[in-house]
Amino acid sequence: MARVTLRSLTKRYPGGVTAVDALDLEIADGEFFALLGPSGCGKTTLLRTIAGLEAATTGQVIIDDVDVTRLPPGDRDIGMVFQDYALYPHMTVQDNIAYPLKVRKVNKDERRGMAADAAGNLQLGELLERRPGQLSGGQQQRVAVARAIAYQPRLFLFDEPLSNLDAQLRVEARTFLKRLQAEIGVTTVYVTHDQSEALALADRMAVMQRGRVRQLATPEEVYRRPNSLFVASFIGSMPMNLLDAEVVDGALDIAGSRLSLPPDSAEHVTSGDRVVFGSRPEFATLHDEPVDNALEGQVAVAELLGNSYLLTVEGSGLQMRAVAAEAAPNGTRVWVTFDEANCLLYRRDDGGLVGSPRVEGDEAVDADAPRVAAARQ
Amino acid sequence: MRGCSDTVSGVPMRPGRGFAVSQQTVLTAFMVLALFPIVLMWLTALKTSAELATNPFGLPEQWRFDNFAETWRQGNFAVYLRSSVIVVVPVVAGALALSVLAGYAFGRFRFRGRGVLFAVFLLGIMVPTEGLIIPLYYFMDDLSLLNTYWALILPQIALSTSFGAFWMRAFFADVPGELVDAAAVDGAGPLTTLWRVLLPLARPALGTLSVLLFMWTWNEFLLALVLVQDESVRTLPVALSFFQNQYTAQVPLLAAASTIVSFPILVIYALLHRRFIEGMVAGSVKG
Repeated sequence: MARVTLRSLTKRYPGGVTAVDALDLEIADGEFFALLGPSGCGKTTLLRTIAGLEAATTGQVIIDDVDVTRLPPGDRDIGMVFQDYALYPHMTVQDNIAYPLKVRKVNKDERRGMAADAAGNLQLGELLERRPGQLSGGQQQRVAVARAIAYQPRLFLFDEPLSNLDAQLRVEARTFLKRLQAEIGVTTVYVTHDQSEALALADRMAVMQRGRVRQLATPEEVYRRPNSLFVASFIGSMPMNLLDAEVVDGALDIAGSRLSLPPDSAEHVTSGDRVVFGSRPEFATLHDEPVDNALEGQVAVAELLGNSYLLTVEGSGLQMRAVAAEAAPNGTRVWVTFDEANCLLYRRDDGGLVGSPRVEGDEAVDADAPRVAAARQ
Repeated sequence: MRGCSDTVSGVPMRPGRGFAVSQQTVLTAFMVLALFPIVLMWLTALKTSAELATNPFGLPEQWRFDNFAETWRQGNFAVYLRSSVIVVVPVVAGALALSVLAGYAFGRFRFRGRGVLFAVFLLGIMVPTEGLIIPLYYFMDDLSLLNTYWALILPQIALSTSFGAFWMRAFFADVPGELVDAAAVDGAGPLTTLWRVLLPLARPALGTLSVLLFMWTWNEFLLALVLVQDESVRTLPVALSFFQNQYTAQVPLLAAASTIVSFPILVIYALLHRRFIEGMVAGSVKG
């Protein structure tokens, strides 16, 4: 079990790219911590720097009050699961799992026992004599996890371990990982680009962009109150509705329609502010006749989600998405209202949540980029 | 080599019956071309000179196995075989060890001067032995190593290592980085990683390299001719050439001598050819 502290950790590559930028982070003992972000945001570099596979340019990695910044990976007492599993192809499952123990000079009987325990834990008991090439993807993934847990490290690092599994297996493996982590209680840092994985697994998560943490919170908080347009557009399996709006006389003007201000945003804005109105499709309601506080449009696409439909509504140059129990034929005129408690307002210039501190210069500019991309989808 | 027969320059095609037949024909033709001189050499080695004149291509009327014994005795091949073995074993072993270490360094580590150093290694492949032989002669003379096994062993280790490092570097650079990372996380240092993780995977590449190094060293002629005059240190290829000058008229004995000299190469190749091919095509078939 371990507490991980990062102090102004920076990783700059020889080419001049700064992958991790003066990052401060504290990961609590026993916590399941997810690092989430688009590709190239520095999350994998950060994980590899914690592991010692990349050398930090400046700053410190501290595990349990010990500065490990200059220690080689093998001396940090960590277990790591890689995206492609990185099993040793010439060794049997048993030897793979026992390898970290063998390197650390654990005697043969003891390491066989520990490997068998780990294998049993992951339902690999039958496969001990096989080689990785004879296993399915899911089995290989479990062997990789078994290798990481067998020697009982104080910190687990996962680098997108589920991304090579097919969708169904991925959900199974996810549940399994969460249960396993809860049972053994080892501090875990989990890198993923899949927001649903981070939401499902983590106790706490960091959303990263350009080597910096944009939001650090529980999954619930990140989902309900993304603190910037970047996080808002990145989180959620269905893209959030993000609509340009202007504050006019204590209400919102969205393409000529009036919506009342979300209650907790009202005090932070004044008339004339240019903002972005955000609300998730799950919190939108469709009406088939005019109502107050609604945006009007026509149904353009209806997609079946399972027990509900995702409807795309277009009108007045706006595009909105709403989850509805029933499908509506294309062209149906509808009025969309949004659950006020779940509406957010962002400043249009820097992309921050109204009332939050302003985001510094360079990141404010591209806060807009993901929103444009999301709107085009 | 799956995927070879049904893909021609990236365009998938369904191999028809005609394709299979013509493929077999071409391969058979190449096999005949490759085997003909060898078989002819064997047959010649088993005939008398008189019979060779009247029946150069047919089977011998009387199989003269004594030719081999006679050649062996007259050519003093026991001495030369011993010399060849004494040279080949340390050259192959030494060059393999150095190639692995150098290839590992070039393939997996970043260090100052890596590019320049690797270019220097490549010089060893690009400069022909003919260009090196005279300076090498004086160098060996300075070291008082002329006419010793060392004069054959040391330069050949160096020359072989330049190719070997190039060959092994390609292998090590191709190994997925995650595998090496996993070993590092598991606590293995660079040498443990090399020994326990990378070398077991390198077996095909090592096998191919061993065959190539063995072949080159066994067949090496120029160095052995120039750097060594003493008969007791002479290796088989040079001995064969001297034998040829002495027995110009005795073609069957010459053929027998050639058979003797080439025999170990054929045996090694027959034993290791599967490995050899694996190593040659490794990396060419992905996925």
